[in-house]
Amino acid sequence: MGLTFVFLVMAIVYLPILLLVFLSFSDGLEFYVQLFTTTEYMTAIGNTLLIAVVASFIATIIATMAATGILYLGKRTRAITMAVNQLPVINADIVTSFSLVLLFVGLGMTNLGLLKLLLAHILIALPFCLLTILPKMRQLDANLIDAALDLGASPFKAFTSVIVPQLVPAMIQAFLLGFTLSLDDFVITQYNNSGVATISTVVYGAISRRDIPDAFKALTTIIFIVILLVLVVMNLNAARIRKGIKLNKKVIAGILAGILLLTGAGVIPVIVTNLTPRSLVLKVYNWEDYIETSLLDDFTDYYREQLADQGVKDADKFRIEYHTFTDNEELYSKINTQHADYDLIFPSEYMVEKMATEGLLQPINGSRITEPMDGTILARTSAFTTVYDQDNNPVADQVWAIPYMIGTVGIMYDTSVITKMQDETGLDIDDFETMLAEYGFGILFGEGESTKYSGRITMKKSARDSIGIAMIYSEQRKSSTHKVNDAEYYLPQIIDEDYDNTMLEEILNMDGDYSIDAARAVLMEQIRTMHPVYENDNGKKSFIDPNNDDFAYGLFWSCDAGIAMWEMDEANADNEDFENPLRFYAPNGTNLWTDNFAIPTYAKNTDAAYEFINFMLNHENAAVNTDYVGSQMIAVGDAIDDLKYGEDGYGVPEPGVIYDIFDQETNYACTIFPTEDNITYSAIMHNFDAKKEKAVNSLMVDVQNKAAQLTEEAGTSVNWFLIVIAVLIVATLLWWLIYKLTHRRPRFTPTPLLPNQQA
Amino acid sequence: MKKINFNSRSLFALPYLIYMFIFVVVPLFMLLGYAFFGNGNFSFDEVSAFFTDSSQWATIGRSLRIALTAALACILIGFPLAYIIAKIRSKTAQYMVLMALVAPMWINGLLRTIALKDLATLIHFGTGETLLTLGLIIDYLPFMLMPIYLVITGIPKSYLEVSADLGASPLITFVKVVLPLSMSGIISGFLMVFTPAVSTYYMSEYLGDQSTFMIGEQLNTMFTKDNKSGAAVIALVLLALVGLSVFIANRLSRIGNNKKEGGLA
Repeated sequence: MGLTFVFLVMAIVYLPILLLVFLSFSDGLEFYVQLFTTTEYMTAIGNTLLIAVVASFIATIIATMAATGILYLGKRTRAITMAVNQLPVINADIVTSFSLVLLFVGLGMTNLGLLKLLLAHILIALPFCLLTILPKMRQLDANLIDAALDLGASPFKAFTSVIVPQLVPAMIQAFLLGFTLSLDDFVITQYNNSGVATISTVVYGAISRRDIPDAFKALTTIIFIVILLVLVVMNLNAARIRKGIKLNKKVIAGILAGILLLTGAGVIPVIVTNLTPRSLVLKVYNWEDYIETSLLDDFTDYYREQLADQGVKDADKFRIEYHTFTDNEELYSKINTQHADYDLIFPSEYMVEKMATEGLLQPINGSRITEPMDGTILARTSAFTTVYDQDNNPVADQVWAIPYMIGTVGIMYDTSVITKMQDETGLDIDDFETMLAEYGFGILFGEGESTKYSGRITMKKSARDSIGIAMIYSEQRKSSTHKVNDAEYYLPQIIDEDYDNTMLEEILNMDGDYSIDAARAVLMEQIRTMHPVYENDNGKKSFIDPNNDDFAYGLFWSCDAGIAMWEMDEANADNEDFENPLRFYAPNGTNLWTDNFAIPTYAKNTDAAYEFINFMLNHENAAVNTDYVGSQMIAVGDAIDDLKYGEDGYGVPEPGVIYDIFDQETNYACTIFPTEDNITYSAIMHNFDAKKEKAVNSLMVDVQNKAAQLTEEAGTSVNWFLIVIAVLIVATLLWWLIYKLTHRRPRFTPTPLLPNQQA
Repeated sequence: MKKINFNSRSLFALPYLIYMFIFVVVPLFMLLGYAFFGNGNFSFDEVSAFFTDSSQWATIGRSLRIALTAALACILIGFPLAYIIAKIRSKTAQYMVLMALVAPMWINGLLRTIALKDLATLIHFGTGETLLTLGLIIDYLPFMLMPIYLVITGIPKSYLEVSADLGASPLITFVKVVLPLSMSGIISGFLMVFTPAVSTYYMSEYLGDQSTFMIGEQLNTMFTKDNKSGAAVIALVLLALVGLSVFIANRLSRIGNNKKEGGLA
């Protein structure tokens, strides 16, 4: 009975892990090969093990010394010390992490790399180590150390030859505890790594866009096997002890040696990494899943040849170190507060402005960019290539970045869900598309008959996107019909002849007469009328999942819509009748975004960075990359034209041809290659000053608080745990009450016999 | 001579004291600094802006509710679990079971969270408060299990024998002897679960939904958007919550230990 319970709990704990173990074999041993051949993964594992072992080792030593010393501190000092020791134990991880960030910033310790993580992880282990060792220390004879010191031993000698030997079991316990806590940690690592990749950061980088990297499923399996092995060894060891063979020390030594060996294996790539001269490494920091990775290998080969031609020694050792981030702010903090020495980064337009203004970027030397680029797009995005000061005077007429990918913000909808909802809404696909074309972003805010889709739409948690679109809509609804083509709306008035996007830009950036209050009003109203779900980049997953009919439409970047459509196509590649149910529509007058090549001030290999930019802008490589990433590059050339218009390409309508944007194929093509109208009648976002930035972000927090409150009040989620627990507690109390009333109290007080329980 | 001896002995604690001072005490003051001096001058702006929003209070309440549920559930699962394990006859088997329950922590916490989410998706179990609570329970159960197990195994066998000799049934022995003596373990386990649960952010992000927006998530949002003073205020609120729960827990255990009459405690 009892053991059944234990195994039940164990089953629940291990079920998710076993799922990963199972999935790790879904492609034969391919994932395992990936794990051991991908330098990025091996470095991450090496770093993680290195940090865990070294940090918990140091923590164990410090804690052992402390345990020796603390007993000799004054009573008061000791009490304070123990209270301080409790702080990190009970304090929330996130508070500890955040205060460590403040500390490192305050001390100016920014670019410490591994050392910083090591210092932080010692903090994870140290208090627990002390708590493990101190009780054992208390049991030691305090006179021993006195005797040693009195007999003339140096404090060091007394420590190593009197204290340590007696504490070894406790120290090993403490070490293993610290090691475990360090491996498990995510929060502290996430906040304090300055570009050092660990298992945590790699997983985090991958899941925000897709899923757990396949190789880490393999890693999970390996750790699972290690756990099993440890259990087997424990059992064998016990059996031997029963037979009277003393093997304890050997086994422990064996386990420790195993851990060290594993660490060694993991650490070797780290060491090799650091041995290559910096001029033979190109450090690239890009968005997750934002490049066709085979191009990285191609470039490595290409550049090795170039270097060899130039007679550079060890040219064949050249390699790319490729790391990924999930949002602009993460990139910014890596470069700004941690001075990470990436050679090439990919900030969005507003982040380019911010970084350039703060002196974090090197101006791009135009003469070193040899590949041609699309003039129309360049003209639209040129605004951020010059940096203005606060009075709007150009500070320097410099180019700070080259566009890499461009796209728009629009609405992605799922035709299958809309058809399924037809009975309920009375709108078929054509009705919906007419409404979409008429009201544009308005259908996110309840225009037309869109309230019928209330609760079935998504918005973006990313503050700039949701608020920018709310600004555009707040302007649109000032016209009498609230429609995009309303003559009173700003767009048609200026659409003729020379379109000037100044007004749209002011609206989007909340400049001039336009204030964020308009967006606040619109968003708060939207929460009540449309019940949107705010999603964090992974909302597209529910659109891709054919069994998930939660959402009819939502606010999306064109690149995400492109990826979603591509993934649906891939998943149904075997089915010839399959028609992709996803469509994307960007109304005219939207936000045009760009992600850009930029070279940070702290870059150490700019030659390779320029070569890489040119390599990527080459039309053939750009075509491969565009096809993979699912958004348009700024490159031009035959290969790009083939991809756009060619028979085997996407089938973008030729300029001048009238087309139906809602036709599936055209729609797919125009999602990847924004229409000329979209590009022309759009505006880009700029860097906000600190006050506006803060207002934008706190509005988004308010919106999320409010949305949570309303969803909660709507009572969509029943907390079954709470109910069960409440019932159990009430039942226990009742039982106890009845017991009390029916039984006499025996006068047995165990208090004087109480052992010291605080251990 | 004596004085030197005294110093040399307590000197052993010096590296520890220095480390803890720099990495625990100083950052706390920096938190205070950022919360109240964020704009360069002393101001209550950040703090008052935080406390005047009703939906903000709803978020705090929600975080408390979810964390309390998880912590209580951990007690309900963890205590019998620890008790059963402590009753296993072979010490080795005890250690092996404990090891098996703690060892999943070698697999990174984030990775396990996503695995749980994938599993839930696979069996069409939607994200939301229930899944989030389940995730918190699974992830933090070892923190409940270990302290309770240590306390239970620390109870001298003689107590149980005395109780039995005095004619108490095993059930009464459990209620009147084992349970009260395990209180300190339960309380420290409660704290070890409650604190990370109330401040979780990646779990509520991946396992929860719109209606489970928690205070840790809010801190994380502010931190990633470089709003250090706003984040510092929330960090202080979290510290206060944790401090309060420690205070209450201490009170509870004191009541438990000092009660003159038998009773439950």
